[in-house]
Amino acid sequence: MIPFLSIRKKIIFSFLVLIILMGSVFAVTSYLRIIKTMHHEIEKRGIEVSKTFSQMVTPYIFDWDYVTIIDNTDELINNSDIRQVTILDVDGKPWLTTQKEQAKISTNTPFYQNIINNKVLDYRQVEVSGHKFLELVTPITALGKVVYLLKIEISLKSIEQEAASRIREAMGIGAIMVVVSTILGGILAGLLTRPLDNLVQGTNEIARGNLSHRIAATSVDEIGKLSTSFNLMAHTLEQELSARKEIEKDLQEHKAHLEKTVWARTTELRRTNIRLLEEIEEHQETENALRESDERYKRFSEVTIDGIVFHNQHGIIDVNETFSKIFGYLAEDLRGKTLADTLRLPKDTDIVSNNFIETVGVRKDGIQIHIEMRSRVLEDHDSQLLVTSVRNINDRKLLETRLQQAQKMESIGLIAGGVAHDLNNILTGIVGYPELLLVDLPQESPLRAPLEMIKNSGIRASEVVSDVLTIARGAASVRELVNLNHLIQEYICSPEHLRIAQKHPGVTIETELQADLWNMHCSPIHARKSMMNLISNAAEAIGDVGKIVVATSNEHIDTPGNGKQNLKAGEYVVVRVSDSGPGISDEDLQHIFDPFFSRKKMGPTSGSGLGLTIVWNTVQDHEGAVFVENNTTGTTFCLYFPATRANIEMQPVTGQLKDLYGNGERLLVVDDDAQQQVICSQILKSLGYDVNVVASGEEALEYLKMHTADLLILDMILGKGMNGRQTYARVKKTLPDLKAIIVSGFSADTEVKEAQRLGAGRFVKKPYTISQIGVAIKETLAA
Amino acid sequence: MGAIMLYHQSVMKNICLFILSLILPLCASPVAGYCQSPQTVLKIAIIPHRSNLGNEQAYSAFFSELVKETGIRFTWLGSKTYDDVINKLHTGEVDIGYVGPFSYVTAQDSFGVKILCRTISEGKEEFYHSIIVTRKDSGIQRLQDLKGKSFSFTDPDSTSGYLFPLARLIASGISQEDFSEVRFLKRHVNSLLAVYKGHVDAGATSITSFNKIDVNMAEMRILWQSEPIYRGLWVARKDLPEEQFTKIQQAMLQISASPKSDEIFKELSTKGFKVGKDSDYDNVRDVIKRLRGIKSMTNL
Repeated sequence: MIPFLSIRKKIIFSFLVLIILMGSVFAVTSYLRIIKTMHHEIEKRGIEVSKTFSQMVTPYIFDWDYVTIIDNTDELINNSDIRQVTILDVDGKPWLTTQKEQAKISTNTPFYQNIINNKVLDYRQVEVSGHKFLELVTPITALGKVVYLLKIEISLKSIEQEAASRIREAMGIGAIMVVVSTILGGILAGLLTRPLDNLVQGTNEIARGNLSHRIAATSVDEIGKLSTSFNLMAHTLEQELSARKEIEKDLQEHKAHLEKTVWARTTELRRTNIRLLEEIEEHQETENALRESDERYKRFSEVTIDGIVFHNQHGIIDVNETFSKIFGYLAEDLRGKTLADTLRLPKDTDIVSNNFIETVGVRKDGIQIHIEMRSRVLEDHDSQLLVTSVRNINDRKLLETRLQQAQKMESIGLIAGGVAHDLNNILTGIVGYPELLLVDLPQESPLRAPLEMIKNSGIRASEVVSDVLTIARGAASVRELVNLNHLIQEYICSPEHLRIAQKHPGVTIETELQADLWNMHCSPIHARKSMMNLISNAAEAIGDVGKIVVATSNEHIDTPGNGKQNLKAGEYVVVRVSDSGPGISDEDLQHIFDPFFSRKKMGPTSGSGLGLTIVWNTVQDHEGAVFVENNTTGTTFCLYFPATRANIEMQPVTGQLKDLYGNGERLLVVDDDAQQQVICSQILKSLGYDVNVVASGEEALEYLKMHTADLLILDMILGKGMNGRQTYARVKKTLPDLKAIIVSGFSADTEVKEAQRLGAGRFVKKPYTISQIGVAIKETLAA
Repeated sequence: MGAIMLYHQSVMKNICLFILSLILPLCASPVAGYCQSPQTVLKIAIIPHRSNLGNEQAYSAFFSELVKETGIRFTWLGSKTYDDVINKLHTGEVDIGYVGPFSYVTAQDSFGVKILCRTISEGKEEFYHSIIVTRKDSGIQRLQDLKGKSFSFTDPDSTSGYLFPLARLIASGISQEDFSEVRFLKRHVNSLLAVYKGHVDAGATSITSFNKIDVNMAEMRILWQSEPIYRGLWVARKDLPEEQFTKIQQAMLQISASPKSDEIFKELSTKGFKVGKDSDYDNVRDVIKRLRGIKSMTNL
C-alpha cells in the first residue's frame, strides 16, 4: 500500500503548498496596503487637526490663557488617538504640555529647523518605548516670525492593531481553506492511485519471474495506455529470455579454453622478469662505485691550495678553482691552449719535470708573479695526460727581500751605536768654541770664515753621529702623541730648513696638509729627521729650479694590495714628499735605502749619506711603510704611519735669539766634563746670565747650602757619584722651589723622565745650540 | 424641553462644535437653543474661571438638575471677562449670573442686582482668600522684593485676583508701575500657572485655584494671604420677575441640600449654596474705598 499513500500525499502536499503560498502573498500585500492606507489617513487627519488646533490655540497662547488651552487639549485627546500635545518655544523649552516630564527638546535637528525656517507644518514617525507615533509639529508665528511650536503626537497603535486583526482574519480564512483542500486532495488521490496499484502488482509478478502475467486494461486514459504497453513489454521479455539462455551456453565453453592459454603464458613471463631484475642490481653497484670516486676527486681538487692543471700534448684539459683564482683564467677559456703559452713561461722552462721548478708566470691581467711548479704523468694511453701543480710564491719572495734588508739595517745599527755615542761629547767642543769665539769676533775679521767652517763641520759631524745614533737606538724608546701637520709646519719654520732653503733658492716648497689629520704615536725627533732628510734630498734632486710638495692625508687600508702587501689593515697617516726632479733610475731604486749609498754613487754631497736609511728605520720601527713612486718628471716618497684617534695639546713655538737674553739670573751648571763646563758657562754668560759651575751632585748640594741659585742646569751622567736625577731629588728636599733643566747627550730615558716627574723642567739634548739652551732656560724661568 | 447641551461623540464633531462655541463669545451673540415650544428662556452667564468649554462641562450636571427642578429652560452664555458678565446683567442680556464679590459690589452699587445665593465650597467653607504667590526658587521672600519684578493679576474686576492684592501691595509701598511687567491673565488658574511655570516672577490669585489645577505646592511660596472673603455668589437682574426669582432660589437651595449634591457638584469647586445678604461683602467695599482714596491721593 505504500506507493498508493505517497501519491496521495504528494497531491495533497501540492495543494497545500499552493494554497499556503497564495494565502501568504495575499496576507502580506493586504497587510502592507492596509497599513499604508491607514498611515496615510492618520497623516491627513493629523495635519488637519494640527492646523485647526494651532489656529485655535494661537490667541490663547499669546494671552497666556493656560486654562483654556488645557481644557481644549484634554478635549482633543479624549476619545482620539492623540496622546500628547505640547507647546514649545523655538529653543525647545516646553511652554505647556500634557506630558508629565517637561524635558527640553533639541530644536537644532534638521526636522525642526526646516519647520522653523520655512514656517511649514511637518510630520514624522517616531518610536517611544516600543510604540509608534505620528508626530506633527506646526509653527505658531507672530509678526512673521516663528515664536512657538505646536507638537501633536498621534498613536499609531490602533492602526497596527486594526491591521493585525485583519491579518488574523485572513489567516483564519486561510486555515479553513487548507483543511478543505486537504480533504479534496485526499478524494482526488484515491481516484488516481487505485489503477496504479494494479500496475505495481504486475511489475512484482515480472520481478518474481512470472513473465506470462498480464494486466487488465480497464480504461482508455493514460493509465490504460500504460497497462497495454506493460503487457507488450512482458511478452517481449519472455522471448528475449529464451534467446539469452542459448548464448550463455556457448560463452561458457569459450571461457574454459581461454583460461588454459593464459596460465601458460604467465609462467613464461615470470621467469624472464626475475632474470632482468638481477641484471639491474649489478649495474647499480657499478654506478655507485663510479660516483664515489668522482666525488672524491672533485673534493680534492677544490680543497687544494695549489693550482692543478690537467693537460696533454694538445693542450689544457681542465684546471681547478685555485688555479683560476691565482691566474684569473676560467677552465673553459683554457681548453686547447698549452700551459706554457697561458702563463707566458720563459722559453726553456721544463714543464713536465718531476722536480720543483721556480719561475715567473703572468696572470690574465698581465701582472707577473713568482711561481713554483711540479708535474706528474697520469696515464699511458695514446695521449699523454699530465697533471701539474702550480703554487703562488710571490708573498714568500717579497718577505725574503724584506728580511734581508732588515738584517742589513740591524747590523749597521749595532756597529754604529757603539762608536757614535762617544763622538757626541767630543763634538761639543768643535761646535761650542767656534760659536763663542764668533760672538766676540769683529765682522770683518779674516778668522770669521774659518771659524764658521769649523763650526759647520762640527755640526755636520754631529748630525752624522746623531743620525747613526738614531738608527742604532731605533725609535722605539720614545713615543709621543704627535700631529704630523704641526711637525711639518714647525720644521719649515726651523733654522735647519731655512738653511736648506737658502742653499737652493730656486726651489719652492708647498704644503698640502689635510685639515683634520689624525694623530700618531711616534718619536718626534725621528719623524722630524725623516721629514728633513726627505725634503733635503728633494731639494738636491731638483738642483736649480723646481717645486717640492709636502702633502698629508688620512688613509684607510681595508685589504692590502697593489704593492702595499706589508701593511696591515687599519687607519694610516700618510705624508707624501714629491719633487719635480729628474727621478731615480730603476737600478738605484733598489738601493736608495742602503746606508751611505749616496756617498758611493754621487761622491761628496751634503748630508751624512744616512738620510733615507733613517727614513726607512723610522718607518719600520713605527710599523708603517715607505713607498716610492718614481718617473722622469719627479719622485714621490710616501710614508705610512699607523694613526691614532687620540688628541694632543698644543705645543709652544720657539723664538728669536734676542728674546732669549737673561737678566743676570743665577744659574748653577752641574757637569763632570771640564770642557762641557767651560763651553756651557761661556754660552750662558753670553746670554746675560750669572753662571757658576760644579763638577758633581755632591758639590752642587754643598754649593747650594751657602749660595742661592735661580736655576739648575743638570747633566744626567755625573761620573762616580749621584746622577742628575738623584742630585735633583736631594736638592728638592731642601729647596723645593728651585727650578731645573736637564741636559744630556742621551735621549730622554727613564732617569730623565723621573727627574721631570720630580719637577725638573725642560730636557735639552747635547750638543745644543745657543738658542736651544736659551729657550729652555727662558721658558723654565718664566714658568 | 430638553436642555441645550453639546454631546460629544467623535473628535471631529467635537472640534467643529468647539470652534463654533469659541466664535460665539467673539460675536457676543447668544446661541439659539433647540426649542420645542415658545417658552421663556433664561440666560445665565458665568465669570470665566475656567475656559468656556470648561465651564460648560463643569456646570452641565447642575444645569440639567436646575432645569428639572425649576422647569424653566436656560441657555448659557460664555464670557471672556468679569466685566462682560456685569454689563450683560446691567443691560438685561443675561438674567442670572455667577459673579465674584468685587463684581457683585460694583454691580450692586451701580445699577443694583438681587442676590440668589452665596456659594460654599468643600466642607461647607463659606470663605476664600486672595493670595500673592511666587516660586520658592525665585528668591523673593517679602512683598518688598517684588520691586522690578514681573507680576500677574487676573482681571481688573477680580476680588482676589486684583482688588485685594493691589491694595496690599500699595500698602507695602509697591505700585503697579514698580513692576517690570504686569499681565492680566483673566483666570485665577492662569495667574497661578504663569507663576508656577516661571513665566512671571510672582502673581495674585485665589487660593481656590490650587484646587482647579495640578500644581506641586512644595515649589510655591505664598507671600501674602488676605482676610477671609465670602465666596462668589449667584445674582439675578433687578427686574427679574419675583416668581422666577423665588423658584430658582428655592431650586438652588434644594439641589444644594439634596443627597445627589456630590454627584451634581462633582466637577465644580462650588459644593453648595447658602442664603446671602448684601452686608456680607462690606469688607470688599472697604478695600475699594481705600484703594480709590490712595489712587486719588497719588493722582493715579
